[in-house]
Amino acid sequence: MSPKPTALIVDDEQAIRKLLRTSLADTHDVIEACSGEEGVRLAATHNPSIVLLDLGLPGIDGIEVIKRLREFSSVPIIVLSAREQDGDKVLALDTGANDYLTKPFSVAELQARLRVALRAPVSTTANAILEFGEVKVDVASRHVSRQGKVIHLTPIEFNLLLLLLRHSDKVLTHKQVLTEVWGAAYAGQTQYLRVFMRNLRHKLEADPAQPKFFLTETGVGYRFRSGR
Amino acid sequence: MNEERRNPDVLLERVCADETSRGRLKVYLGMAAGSGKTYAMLSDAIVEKKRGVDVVAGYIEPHGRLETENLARGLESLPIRRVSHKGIEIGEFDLGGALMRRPRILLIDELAHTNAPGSRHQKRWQDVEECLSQGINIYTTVNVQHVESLSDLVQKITGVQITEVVPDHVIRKAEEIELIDITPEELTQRIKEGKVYLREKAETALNHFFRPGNLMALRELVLRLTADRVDEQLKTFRRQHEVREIWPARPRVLVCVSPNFLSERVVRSASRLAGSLQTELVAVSVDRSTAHLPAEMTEGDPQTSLDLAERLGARIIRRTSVDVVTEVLRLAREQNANIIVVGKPIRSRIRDYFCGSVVDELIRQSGELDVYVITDKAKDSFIPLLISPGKVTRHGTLKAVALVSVATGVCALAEQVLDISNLVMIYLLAVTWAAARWGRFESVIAAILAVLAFDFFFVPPRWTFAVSDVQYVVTFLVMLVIGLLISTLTARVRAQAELVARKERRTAALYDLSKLLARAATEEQIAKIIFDQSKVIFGLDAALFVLTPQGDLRPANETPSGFEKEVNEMAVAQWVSDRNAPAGAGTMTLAGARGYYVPLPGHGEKGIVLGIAKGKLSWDAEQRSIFEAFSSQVASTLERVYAEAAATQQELEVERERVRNVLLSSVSHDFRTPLTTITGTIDTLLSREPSATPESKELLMLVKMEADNLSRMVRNVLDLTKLESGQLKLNVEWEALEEVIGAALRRTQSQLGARKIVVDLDPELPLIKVDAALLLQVFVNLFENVSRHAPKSTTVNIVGKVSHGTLTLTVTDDGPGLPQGSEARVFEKAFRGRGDTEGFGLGLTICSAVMRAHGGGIEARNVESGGAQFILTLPVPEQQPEVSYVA
Repeated sequence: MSPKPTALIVDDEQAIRKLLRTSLADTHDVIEACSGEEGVRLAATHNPSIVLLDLGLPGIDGIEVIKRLREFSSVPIIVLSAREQDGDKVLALDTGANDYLTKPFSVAELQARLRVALRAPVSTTANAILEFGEVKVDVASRHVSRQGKVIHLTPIEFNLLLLLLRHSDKVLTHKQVLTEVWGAAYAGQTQYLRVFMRNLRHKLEADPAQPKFFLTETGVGYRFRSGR
Repeated sequence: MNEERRNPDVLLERVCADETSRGRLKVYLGMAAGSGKTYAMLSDAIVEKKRGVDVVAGYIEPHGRLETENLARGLESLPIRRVSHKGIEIGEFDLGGALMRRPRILLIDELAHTNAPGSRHQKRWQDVEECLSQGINIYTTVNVQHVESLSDLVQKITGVQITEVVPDHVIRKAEEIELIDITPEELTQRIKEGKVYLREKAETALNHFFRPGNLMALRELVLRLTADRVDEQLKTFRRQHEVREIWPARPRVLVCVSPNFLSERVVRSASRLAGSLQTELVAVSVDRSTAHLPAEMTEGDPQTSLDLAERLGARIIRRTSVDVVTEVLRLAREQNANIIVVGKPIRSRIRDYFCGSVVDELIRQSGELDVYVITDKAKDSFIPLLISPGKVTRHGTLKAVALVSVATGVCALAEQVLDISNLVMIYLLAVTWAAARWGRFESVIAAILAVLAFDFFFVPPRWTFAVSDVQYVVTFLVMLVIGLLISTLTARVRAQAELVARKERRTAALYDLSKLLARAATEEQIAKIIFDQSKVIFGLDAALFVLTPQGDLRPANETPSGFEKEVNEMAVAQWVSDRNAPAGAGTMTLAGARGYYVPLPGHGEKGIVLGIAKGKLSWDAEQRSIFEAFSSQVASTLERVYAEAAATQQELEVERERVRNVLLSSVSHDFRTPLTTITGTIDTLLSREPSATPESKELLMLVKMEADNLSRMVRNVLDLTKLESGQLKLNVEWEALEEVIGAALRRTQSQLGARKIVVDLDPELPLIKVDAALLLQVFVNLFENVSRHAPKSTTVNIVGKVSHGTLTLTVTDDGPGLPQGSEARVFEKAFRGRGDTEGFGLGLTICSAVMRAHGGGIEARNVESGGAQFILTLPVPEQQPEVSYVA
C-alpha cells in the first residue's frame, strides 16, 4: 500500500478542522493550520499533496494564501467558502485554486472533489478516443459521434469540448474557458459561452435542460462531469 | 473615395421633423386683409370637427364680417381675455386658458398681432410657439406684409409703415402653409362691396394700401414666398432620399451689422439671400471703440439689428476689435462663409477720401470671398465729423475759455521775443493740452477760440477780427485744421486706451469671480458670490434660483431690493426654469418683470435660473457679453458643486454597503460553520459506524435533515435581508435560461427525488441579462417548494416561451395545488402553506423580490387539473449580444 497523501487544512474554525481531520483520517495524513501565514509555512515545509483552504481567514485572507502558495507550489487547492458572493470563488479559482466547495458541504462531496483534484489531467494530445455516455470523441481525427451517428461540431465547439474533457470533473471559470478557446481579448464575453455551450449540449446531451455531463456552475463557470 | 456619407445636418433635420411631442402648425397665408384666410381656416376647422377632432377657436379677430362670424359660431370658442389698457378694454387670446383646455387643434387668428402690455408674451406668435411646444396643433392666419424678412419690401412698395411682424423661422417651421390666393380685381370688388371694411373706410383703403399696383405686387410676393417654400420642400425631399450624393458643406452667408441707419435693411437682404441659397446666416457685429465719435455718427446700438437678425434665424457673433476689417474676414473664414453682406452709406467723395471706408477696405482684402454691398444715401457729411463737438458741457466751455485766455496771456508776454508765427505754436500747444487732458469737446472749442483770439489780439490790425494781410487766412485755416485733427487723433488714442482699460476691468472682474467661485462649495455660497460680484460688475442685484428636493424653485439668497421674493418675479423665474429660455426685462417674454432671468444648465430636467434686477435698464454689448461670461461661470461652478455632492453621496452609500456586506458575510460565516460541522459530523458518523442501530441511524438522519432545513432558512433570511435593503446590486450578465434551470434542478436533485421533471423550452429562447446567482435561487426555491408540497409521484412541467419582448416561464405541478384563495398571498412574508411546518415561508417572497429586481414578475395560481402553477416573466433585452461563430 502506497503511503497516504498529505492533506493540509487551513481553517480558523477548530470545529471544521476537527471534522475534516476525522473524515479524512482514513485516506489522508492530515496537517492543520489555523491561519493563512501558518498554512503557507506548513505548505513550504511539508509539501502536502492537497490543500483545503477556508477563504474567510483572519490575518491574510484566502486569496492571498493562494497567491503565496502559487509562488512556489502547484499543489491542488480546494477552497472552502462560506461567503455568499460568487465573486470570491471566481477570484480564488482565477488566482489559482483548483476547485471550491460552499459550506455547508457533504463529506461525500468533499471526498469526491479530493479524488478529482489528485487525479492527473486527461490526456487529449495522444491519439486517444474519449468516451462519455453515448458519445465518442476521436481526438486525432476530430471526429465526434453519438449513438454511432456522426455529430458535426464546428472548430470552436470541438476546441471547447476538448478543453472540458481535458479538465474532466474540474471547474473551469468563464474567464479560463474564454481565454483558452477564444483568446484573452474575449475574457469578458460570457455570451459566447452561453451560445456555444448550448450548442454542445443540444448536440451531445440527451436532455439539454437537465444535462448529465456539461454542468453549469452558476456564476462561476462550467464543469464536465465524467461520471468516473 | 466615393463612399456613402450621410450629412449629419440632414439626419438632424429629419430627427427634428420627426419630433412628435410638438404640435403641428398650419399657416393660412394671404396677400392682404380680406383675402379670405380666416374663412378658409374656419371652413377647414369645421371639416375637422365633423370628423370628430377636438377643435377649439382660440381667438378669431372680430372684423364684423358676416360670413366669417356665422362659420365661427359652429365651433367651441375659448373665452376672450379682457385686458384694460389706458382705459380701453381690449380682448386678447387667453394663453393660460388654451393650455388648460388643451384641444387637439386650436385656431388663432392674426399671427402677427402684438399683445396688450402685461400679457405673458409681447407677440401672439410667441403664444402660438408655446402652445406648439405643449403639443397643441395650431391653425393660424398671416398676411404677407407681416413676414419679417419681407416687411421692408412691402413698406417700400406700399409706403405703409409696418410694425407688426412675425419672424421668418416661425413660418418656416410650419408643417403646412396654405396659400389663400385671390386676384386683385376680386379683392377690390369685395372691398367695394363692403365685405372687408365698412363703406366709409373702404374708400380710403382702396386709395391707399389696396391700390391695384400694390395688390399686384403683394400678390407676387406671396406667390413667390410660397414657391420658395415648395422649392425648399422639394430639396429637403431630395436630400432625404438621395443619400448617395456627396454633400459639400454649404458655405454660409455672413452679414456685418454695424451701427448705422442701413443695418436693418442689410440684415433683411442677407436673410433673404441666405434663404434662397438654403444656407445658414451668421450675423457679425464688431464693436469698435466709438467713444471718440459723436453720438449722431454711431446712430445707436447695433443690438436692434442683431435682435432682428436673431429673429430671422441668424446665428449671432459679437466681437470687439479696433480693426474691423481683419476681424470680419477672420470670422468669415472661421465660419465657412463665402458671401459677406455689408451696408455702405453713400457719403461725399471727400469724406471717403479723407476718412477711408471700412467697406472699401473690406473689398480690397476680401480675396476669394464675395462681398455684397447695400447702399443708400447718408445724411452726414465730412465737415461735421471733424468739428463735431463730442460731449457738450458748460463746464467744458469754461475750461476751454480759461485755457485760451492763459495761452493769450502767455502770447502777450512772449510777443516781445517771439515772431508772430511762433505764437500760433503756443495756441496749438494749448489745444493739444486740452485734447490730452480733457476731451474732444474742450479741444474743439479751444481750437476755435484759439483762432479767434489769435486773430483778434495779434494779427494786424489788432483789436479787430479784420485781417489786413490775406496770407493770415491760410494761417487761420491751417491752425484750425491742425487743432481739430490733433483733437480727433488724441481722442481716438484715448478711446483705445479706454477700450483696453475696459477690457482689463472686465477680465479682472471675471477673474475675481472665477477665483471666488472656485472656493464655493454650496448653492448658498455661490448665490452670495453672485450677488456681491453682480453689485461690483453691473451695479445690480442678482439672485440665484435653485431647486428644492421637491423640484420647486426657490431663491438661494436674499437681496436688499427683495425682487427675488415677489410673486410675479418668482413666476417669471419658474417660467424660465420650465421652458429653459431667457425671459423678463429686456426680452420679448414677460417683459414687464423687474428682473432679467436666464436658465443655467442644472441637474435633471428643470433648469436653475439666474436672475438680475435690471428694470428698464438696457445693456450695451460690453455688459451683455460680461453677463454671458458671468452666467456661464456660475453654471459651470454649479455643475461642479452638484457633481461633488453626488460623489460624496455615492461614497457614503458605498461605505454603507461595505459595512452591510461585512456584517452579512460575518453573520453568514458564523451560521455556516456550526452547520457544516453538524452535517459533516453526521455524514462521517453514518459512514463510519456500521454497527449503529437502525434507531440511532434514523435519529442521526433526523438531525441531518433539520440541520439542512436550518441551513436553508439561514440562507433565505440572509438573501431576503440583502434584497430588501435595496442595496443589492444586480450582477447581470448574458445568461441562458436553460443553464440556470439545469443548475437549479441539479442542486435540488436530492429533494426532488423521483419527481418527474419535463423541461420544454422554446429552442429560439434568447439570451437574457440577469443575475444568474439570484435567478438560480428563484428556481431552487420553487423546486424546493414543489418537493415540500407535492407528492413524490408528481410531474413538474417547465415551459418557456417568448412573445412581445417578454419571456414567460411556467412551472406547473400536478400536486394538490395552493390553498384556495391564497394564490396572491403565497409571496407574502411568513406565509405558510398547507402542512408547511418547516421553513419561514420566505422562499417565495425571495422569488418575488428577485423577479421584481429584474423588471419581471411572478404569479401563482391553481390550474384546472388541480396542481399549482407559477408564472414567471422577464423582459427580453431588445438586442441580443453579438456572437461571431468564427474564432
